[in-house]
Amino acid sequence: MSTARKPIDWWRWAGRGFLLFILTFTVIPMIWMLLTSIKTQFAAMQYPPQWWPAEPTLENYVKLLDPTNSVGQDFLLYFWNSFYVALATTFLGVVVAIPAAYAFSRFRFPGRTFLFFSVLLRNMFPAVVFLMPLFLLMRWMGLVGSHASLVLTYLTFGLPLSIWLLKGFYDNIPIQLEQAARIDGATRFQAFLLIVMPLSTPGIIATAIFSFIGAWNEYVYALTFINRQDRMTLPVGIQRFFAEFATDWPGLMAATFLMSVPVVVLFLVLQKYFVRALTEGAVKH
Amino acid sequence: MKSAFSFARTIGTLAALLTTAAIAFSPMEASAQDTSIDLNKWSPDYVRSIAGTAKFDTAGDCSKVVPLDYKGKLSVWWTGPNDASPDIERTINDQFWAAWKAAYPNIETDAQNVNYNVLLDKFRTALLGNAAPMVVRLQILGGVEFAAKGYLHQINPEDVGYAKADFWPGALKSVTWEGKTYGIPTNNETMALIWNAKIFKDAGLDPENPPATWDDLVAYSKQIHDRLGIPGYGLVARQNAGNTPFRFMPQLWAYGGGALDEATDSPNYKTVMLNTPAAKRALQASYNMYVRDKSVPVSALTNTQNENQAPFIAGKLAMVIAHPSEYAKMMDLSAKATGADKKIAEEVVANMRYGLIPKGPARRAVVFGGSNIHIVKDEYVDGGQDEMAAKALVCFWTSPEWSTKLAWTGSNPGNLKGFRTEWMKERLDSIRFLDVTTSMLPSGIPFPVIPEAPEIMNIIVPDMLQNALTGAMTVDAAADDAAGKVEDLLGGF
Amino acid sequence: MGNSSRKDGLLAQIIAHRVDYLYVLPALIVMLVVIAYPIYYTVELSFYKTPANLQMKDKIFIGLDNYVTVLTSRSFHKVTVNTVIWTVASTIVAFLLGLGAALSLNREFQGRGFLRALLLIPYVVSAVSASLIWQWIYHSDFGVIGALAVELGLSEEPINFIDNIHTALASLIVVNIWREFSFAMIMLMAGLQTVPDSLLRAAQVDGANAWNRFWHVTAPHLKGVSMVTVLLLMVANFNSFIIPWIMTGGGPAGASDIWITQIYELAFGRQRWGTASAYSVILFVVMMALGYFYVKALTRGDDRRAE
Repeated sequence: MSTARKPIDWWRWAGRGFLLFILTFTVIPMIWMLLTSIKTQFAAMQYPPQWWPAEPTLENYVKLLDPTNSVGQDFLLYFWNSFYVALATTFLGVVVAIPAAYAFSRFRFPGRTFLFFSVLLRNMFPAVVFLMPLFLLMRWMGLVGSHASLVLTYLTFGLPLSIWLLKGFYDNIPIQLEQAARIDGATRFQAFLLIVMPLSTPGIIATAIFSFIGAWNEYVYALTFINRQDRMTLPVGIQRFFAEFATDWPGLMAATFLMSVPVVVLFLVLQKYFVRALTEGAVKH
Repeated sequence: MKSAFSFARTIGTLAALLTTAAIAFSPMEASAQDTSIDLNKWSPDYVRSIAGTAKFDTAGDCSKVVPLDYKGKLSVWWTGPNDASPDIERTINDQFWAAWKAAYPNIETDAQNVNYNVLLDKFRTALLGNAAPMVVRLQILGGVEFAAKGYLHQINPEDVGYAKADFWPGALKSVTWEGKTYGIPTNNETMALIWNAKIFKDAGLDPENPPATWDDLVAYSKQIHDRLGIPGYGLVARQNAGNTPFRFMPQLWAYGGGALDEATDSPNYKTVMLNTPAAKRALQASYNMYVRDKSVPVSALTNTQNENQAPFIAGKLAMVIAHPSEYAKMMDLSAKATGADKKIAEEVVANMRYGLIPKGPARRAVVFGGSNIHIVKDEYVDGGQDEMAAKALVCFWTSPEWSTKLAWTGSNPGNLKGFRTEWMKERLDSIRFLDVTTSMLPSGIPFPVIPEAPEIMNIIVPDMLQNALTGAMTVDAAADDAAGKVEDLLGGF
Repeated sequence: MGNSSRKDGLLAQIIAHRVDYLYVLPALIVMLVVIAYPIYYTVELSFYKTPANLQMKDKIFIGLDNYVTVLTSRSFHKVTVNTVIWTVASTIVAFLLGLGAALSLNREFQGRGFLRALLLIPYVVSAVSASLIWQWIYHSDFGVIGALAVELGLSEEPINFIDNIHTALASLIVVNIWREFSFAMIMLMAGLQTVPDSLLRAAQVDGANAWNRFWHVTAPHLKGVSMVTVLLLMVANFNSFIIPWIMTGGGPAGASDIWITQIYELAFGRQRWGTASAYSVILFVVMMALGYFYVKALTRGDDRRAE
């Protein structure tokens, strides 16, 4: 942008002011969460509240992460369950979405638009409504109460978005590359596997991030499908803490923080891909 | 240290109550066995006198129903101890399963501890998919819905080696549908009023006596709030939560109202009583506390009893209605407190008092609570039913020994013979206030035993409270609206 | 659309492209099974009633009665109003905040990436976490905002956010916006990249002030992205369940009930599966209408790309 000098650039100052406002709005709740998590239970219930705890303590975190403590055992188990389910969902999601996205991007076959439409439409239906029929479906497939039922369900949540994102990436890979390979004698499938896929790695990573985060954060289905306490995932487990822990707000805030850490870290590390993923599909060049 | 209630007063009150209770409950069978309990004599003295007077051999008794070497499979769901439960409950739970395994080593058991608030939903969903467990223990309001739908196996106390006379009549009512019994009571409890004597004293109230009537309670709450700036009564009004009706219904019944006619002598569960003048007075009392006096927590609309515990132990709430186990819970919380908190907590525990729930113009009432254990019909069970294994567990669970032990901190044995065991004696000696909470048992009124009851209690009644307390409707309109909903519901919507 | 030949050529076309379908098959199977069956089941169930004393398999056929019940119930009007307010307010404000943030972050400066990451965190954190954190902040007795207000002398008592029928919905909307605005921000930032610098410079040379530059040069380029963003936000908000359910359960006294929480309560709280199904079908229909425009917007320009 031009740097022509002006006495007061209202626009820029407005921008800065707005940025400050939005940052405050975003960050203050998170800070309050952290502050609460280092208070003792009674301290959190002071009225007027202590802004900075009189006796800050890390005991809430210790309790949650200590494998010898019953609370810690539960929490770590939920953590592992969430991780396992999210990973499985991500892997399967990518494996299924890649060829589908490629097909929608490159091929012209009858019903292509209709299929694409229906794949996207899935995004539109509230998950909650399908709870009971899906539960019955899982029963019929013998998957009740298993992690597989969650993985299968999450797969369908994530597929439309994954396919759409990947398709956006494929759309931006020039056809000429594959055509050149085909001229050299490669089959369409070989061209796809050896030329296109490696180029779409950023897209694959982006899709994987979305799948993982979606599966990690999901609550309603995990609550309904999983009965056994030792198979619960984090969001449900944490809610359980809340229902049973006689309003241990500091403990709950600590648990919330810990639950968010993997996702935020993943996101921060792979931020570039995340942003690209969102925008790639949005903007058509 | 007992509360300063004189026994004479207690017995006098109880005598009056028992006359009513005797009419309210179905007639007792004449008891010829020497280990029977005479409910007509119920009083703290009587309870003490029979404790420790009989011995029972659970494994031996149950071996008569199902041989101890029986080989089979078993699946069971129940709400067991969780992270918020006192440690002793967890210990006893472990002991129970160890004893079970020792008695019936060849029954392969899969036991699932499911949270109280979600157990019903999970059970319903599981039944839809024919994936239910063989045995389930549900809270007292929960079973009739499934009995009405035909999911549960008929079972009488005699089927597991006991007798009808061994259980509270009100408890047996709660497992009866269309004349047949579909479950066995495991434990029964009634709640009591708990208060912080120091707060009472600081507010200028008599620290050793609870408010005698509900109107008094409203006044006490106001005084405490006005003088000390903290909430008086721990009102609970959350939607879709069992805690709410358990605390509001005693109030409603005390004033003379009811959801249906469950508080009357011979209820037929067809007359709606939510909008009688008496019921409206009860609702008005809550309104007065929440809106007029602002003497209860503002968060009452989203609170359950859990949310009252922390303020109570921090000395910032004066009165709650809670289970016998609340004392153990407070002791636990106090033990876990650190630093300056510890001193506060210990002081609260030292000042805790239990008393009878206040009376109202019509009566003194409390919800007859507890749990029942049920056996699911074969076709709905995941993997099919193993009836012998199920019966063995039911016999074990409802035995005098285990129905007493498993109810250690929170409840009382469903099997009345449990009151005769040595463990009952131990409880009476070691658990403070147990005599007070057991003395409320005869004032217990069970919720209407109809499949629509969960909806009435967990949704319609809390909604009514919320409508009135938020000002969305006037007290009259809220009561009428709720009554209308119950009528619709009973009319088959 | 797909076919360039007439019906009798369709079968030939399908056979010719049969290998192509293989690429799509796994995705398709999953979607069909896990979507088609539940939709069929829900639609079927909407014509029945499921009283408390009967098993599901003994449900009673009642035709369109459930739909009538839903559409004429007193709460339907209120819940619909709530849903509209919830969706529209969340979407518009989140979009505007996102736009503001995107514009503010449009210039390269030190720490920009860090700020952007910070602003994206609420989006990435789970809805459950957000609900719990804000529930604590809004707490009627111990919440920090209420306490702050009292301390600053703005009010006598702690502010009642979510136990109050007048402010419950608005309070929830704030939480929703907190979570979503950064999504809009990212989309719009990408859109801003497509605004040619040359045009902006030209406008500046012509003496246009900042506002005019924005309105006449930048905004038209953002139209496509904005439309997509708004549509995505609307869809997500319409179905957003976790925040209202966990924070208030639709209360108090139904003040924050939206369609989706009402459906959940009907089904799982009151066991009125038939009525809940009818409600869901109504929801589908509305979403289908939205979906039509959604897909049309997204698949513009697709046909150029294929072989």
